[in-house]
Amino acid sequence: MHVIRLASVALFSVGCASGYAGAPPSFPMEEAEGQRLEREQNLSAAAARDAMDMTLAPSRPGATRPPRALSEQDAEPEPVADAGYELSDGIRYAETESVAVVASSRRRRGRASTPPPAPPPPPSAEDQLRANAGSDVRLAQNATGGAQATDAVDTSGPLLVYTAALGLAAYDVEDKLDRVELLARERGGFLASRTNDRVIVRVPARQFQAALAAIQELGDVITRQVDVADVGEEFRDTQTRIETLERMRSRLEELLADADDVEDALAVEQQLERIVLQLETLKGRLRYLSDRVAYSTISVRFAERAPQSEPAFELPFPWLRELGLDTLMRL
Amino acid sequence: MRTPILALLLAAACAPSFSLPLPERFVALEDQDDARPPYRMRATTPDGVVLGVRTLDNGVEGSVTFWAEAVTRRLRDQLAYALLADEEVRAKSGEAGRLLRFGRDLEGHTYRYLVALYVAGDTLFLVEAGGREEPYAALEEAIEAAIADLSL
Repeated sequence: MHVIRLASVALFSVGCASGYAGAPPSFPMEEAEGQRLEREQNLSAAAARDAMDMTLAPSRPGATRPPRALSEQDAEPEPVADAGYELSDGIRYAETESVAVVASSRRRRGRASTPPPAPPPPPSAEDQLRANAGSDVRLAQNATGGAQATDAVDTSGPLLVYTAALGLAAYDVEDKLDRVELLARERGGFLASRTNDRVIVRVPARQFQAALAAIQELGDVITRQVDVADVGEEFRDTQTRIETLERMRSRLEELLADADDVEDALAVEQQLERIVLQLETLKGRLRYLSDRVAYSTISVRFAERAPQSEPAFELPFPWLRELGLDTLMRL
Repeated sequence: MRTPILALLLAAACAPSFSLPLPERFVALEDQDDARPPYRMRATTPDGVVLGVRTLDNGVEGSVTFWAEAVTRRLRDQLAYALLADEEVRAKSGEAGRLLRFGRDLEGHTYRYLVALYVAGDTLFLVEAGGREEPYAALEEAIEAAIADLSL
């Protein structure tokens, strides 16, 4: 029982140390962005509470956690393919290169079209962070976990996540959807999802502005929203929590080796299992944040161009009002 | 290969004359002078690509540039057509003109619409062609070749 007490005290300390303060950032933002950030922070705080719960609460057989959606997935549901991974807390994390193409109904007309090229090979976390020109991130392999490195060493500056949502009025929507996809691929990005009137692409962060400008040329801009979120604080906090938990895991492994009897060993193993689970959750979150920083998300919804209901000015030549397909094709 | 039939229209003694070779697959419709609006010539293919010519009074002496801008504004700004191309052309008989290519999405289908404008004397010649994207695209070259052979 000595061993168990030691473990409990240490775990309680970790739980407290790893609690996420969730203080709101002080940079100015539009209201929608502020709400989104607040939601993210609430999620982070909830994750921290969950972490404490997982550490301190006794295990409940069959207990399940209600799934929580990540904030961006709330706003922009991005279907993900099998290569995504789901952790025990119900959060589904998408591998960037493996997001599904949804309802990619190819061109409905007989015009020549080539099948889209295969998605690029999965970028590693290092590649993703290197792609972000805004942050000079040096990466180190996770020595203990051996996982893909999200243990960025230099993340002291802001880590910005860019997202944009465009509403465009355009002619030949199917063709425009193809062109958005092509624009993203040409800039090192990839298709995230596609329907008959909407496409979501991910582009390297350094290509965000150029891609956005090119996409806006495809039609008349009806709506445009660009959001920038600094996830640096959450990123660093998550890293700290991982480091703390890894130290804790090492300590528990030592205790396990020193356990005198089976009962003690089982109790330590139980705690160790929870720590490992927590670590995987946090590493998944770090990978998710890395992905969001490295690749910006641009969502484009196309609509048919709508006629003006009341023209502001009309020339006094009646035949102009008889122009158009309606008249010509009414035989 | 265009049908060597000329849609030569000399309906009224005072009506401006023109000749336009009819592209293959088109048949000229009758009584188009009685249509609303009246066409000097209108022809169609079985799959609904339509070619038409109207002559309009240009008493205000508008230039081709003026009419091209008026048509573009009407179609693009008010009727939501997309202007795909705008180029200067010349009739076979030498008159300068403008050729405007438009696109339009309507109820889930994509359409093409072409307008060619020429001014000759106090008459504005308006050539229109349009239809669903697929059949139109198949005939586009023939239609534009016919327009290039227009004599006023």
